[in-house]
Amino acid sequence: MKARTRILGVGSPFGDDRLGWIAVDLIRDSAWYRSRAAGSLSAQAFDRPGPALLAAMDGAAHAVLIDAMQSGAAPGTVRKVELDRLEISADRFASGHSLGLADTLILGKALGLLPPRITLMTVERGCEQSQDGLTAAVHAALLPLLKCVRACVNDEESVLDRPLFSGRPLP
Amino acid sequence: MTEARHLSIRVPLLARVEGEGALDVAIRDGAIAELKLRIYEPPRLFEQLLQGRSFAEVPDIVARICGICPVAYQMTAVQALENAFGVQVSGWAQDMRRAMYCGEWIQSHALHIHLLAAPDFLGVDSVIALSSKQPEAVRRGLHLQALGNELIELFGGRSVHPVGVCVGGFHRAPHPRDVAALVEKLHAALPQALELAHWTAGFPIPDDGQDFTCVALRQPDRYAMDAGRIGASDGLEIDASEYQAHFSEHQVSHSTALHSQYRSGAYLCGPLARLNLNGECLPQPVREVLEHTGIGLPCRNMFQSIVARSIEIYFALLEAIRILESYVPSDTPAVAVTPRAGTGAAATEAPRGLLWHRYETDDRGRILHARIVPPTSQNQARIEQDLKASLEAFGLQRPENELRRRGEAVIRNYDPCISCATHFLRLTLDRR
Repeated sequence: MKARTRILGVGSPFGDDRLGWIAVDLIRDSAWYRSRAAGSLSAQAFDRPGPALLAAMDGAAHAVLIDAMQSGAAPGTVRKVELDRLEISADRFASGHSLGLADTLILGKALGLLPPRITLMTVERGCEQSQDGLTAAVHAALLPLLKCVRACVNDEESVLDRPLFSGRPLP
Repeated sequence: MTEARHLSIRVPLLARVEGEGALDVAIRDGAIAELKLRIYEPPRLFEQLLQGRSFAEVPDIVARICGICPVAYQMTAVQALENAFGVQVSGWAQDMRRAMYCGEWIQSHALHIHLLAAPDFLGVDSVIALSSKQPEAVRRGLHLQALGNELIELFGGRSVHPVGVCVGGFHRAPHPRDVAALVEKLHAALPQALELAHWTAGFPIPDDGQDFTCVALRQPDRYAMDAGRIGASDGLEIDASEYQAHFSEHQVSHSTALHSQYRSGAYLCGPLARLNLNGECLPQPVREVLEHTGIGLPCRNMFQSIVARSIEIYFALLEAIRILESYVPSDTPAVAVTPRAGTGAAATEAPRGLLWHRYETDDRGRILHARIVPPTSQNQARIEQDLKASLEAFGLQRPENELRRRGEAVIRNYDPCISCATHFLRLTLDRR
């Protein structure tokens, strides 16, 4: 049975882009996740967005997407971004290899394939990219991120449409 | 009197193609003086990366060459290595490899048709704009793509960079329950594939017949996909081990992808070449659909490639059903492999066309030398040839934006995967 609420972490093996994967691993290892009723919640890592992500959200009541972000905010800043705040122009669409998360969500919206509720949780990536793991600022944002995800899934009202945790630049 | 026109068209980044490339066209006195399909993605050096690695690592490494067609790279690599070691895989493994390959054709073709190529024929800029005009068609395409991915996952554990294939066969046999559930979905998708073929056949296809040589794998009793001898429309028929005696690769300064030639000339590989050479091998239900689309074979119009892809999706669904309906798991999904010093070559039909691998190994099965010739390299010279003929036939006096759009559409007919070939489009038009 497919879960009504699905946490989907998007990322790659490289540096801060790994955030979505690490967050999903931590969630799946948590007592909170294990305590949820069987079939009510799932957490899955994705190596790229695209049509497969739309398929992964198919039939869900609520999808929580976790991804690293680059917006110019302080590294480690945790945000909840609403779908209708994402801007994209059609000519940005390039190829099947480079269908980004925003492109995928706009495509899904145009096709009516999105769940009734989507929450996009992002963490601002660091300035310096490491091939080996998360930068210190993004690593420090993991705990606040997970608290926000948990609150979001639990429908707590603490999830606001504003920066949720202000990351600080690396010293 | 018509004024002599000099124009330079530059498309600095080709959109809706897999990877990064550019097109430069110089028009002098109303004729194309120079045309370059520039592939500037840096070389990825996979062949060098394979040297010194164990044969067992090769399927997982070559899968990383492409996120769209990893199965093609795996299937070609394992067969080349099996040839090097004198390994004969079981009939079960051969059948299951063909079924898995069907999944890749379905997902890759569905992705190309709906996300990349269809907007060219329907007067929209992207699949997002197409989704507003024809949402049902795009949903159908995404469904077919997802189904192809499921077929890959059945055997490979995951659809991107699958891990189930090994030299000798497969790491495991899928559970009959999972196979039966997927066969049911494949049956349910047949009407959608038929609708897709009729949808693409109804597109306003430009009339642009050209003369070209087709190259594809051939098998006497079936539509070649995962195995066969390399054939050409001039009568050539060779074993994969003879490829280098008939095909050559050379470097051009404007591309990080090598250009392939056959008998010193350009040639076509891919869905339209396959239909032209092997159309008579298609099962009767597919031939009936082909006939209904109105494509006469051999077809000389590259714009019909989108219809050819939809035909191949229908074929791949039927073929996967044929293989999997009588599925019985194997206790020995892989035969034992004893490595030895040797050389082996193999070719398969990637969604985009012929893919050729050759490996030399030492007595422990470590890779001493690897050569990989992807379909986009083989189609590059043909794409440049086609662009010149198509743009001249289209009319070089047309506005620059129209020439740019036509040039991009011509290139997309080949579904080039630049990321695979580097070793793709920005249009630069120089018209004076």
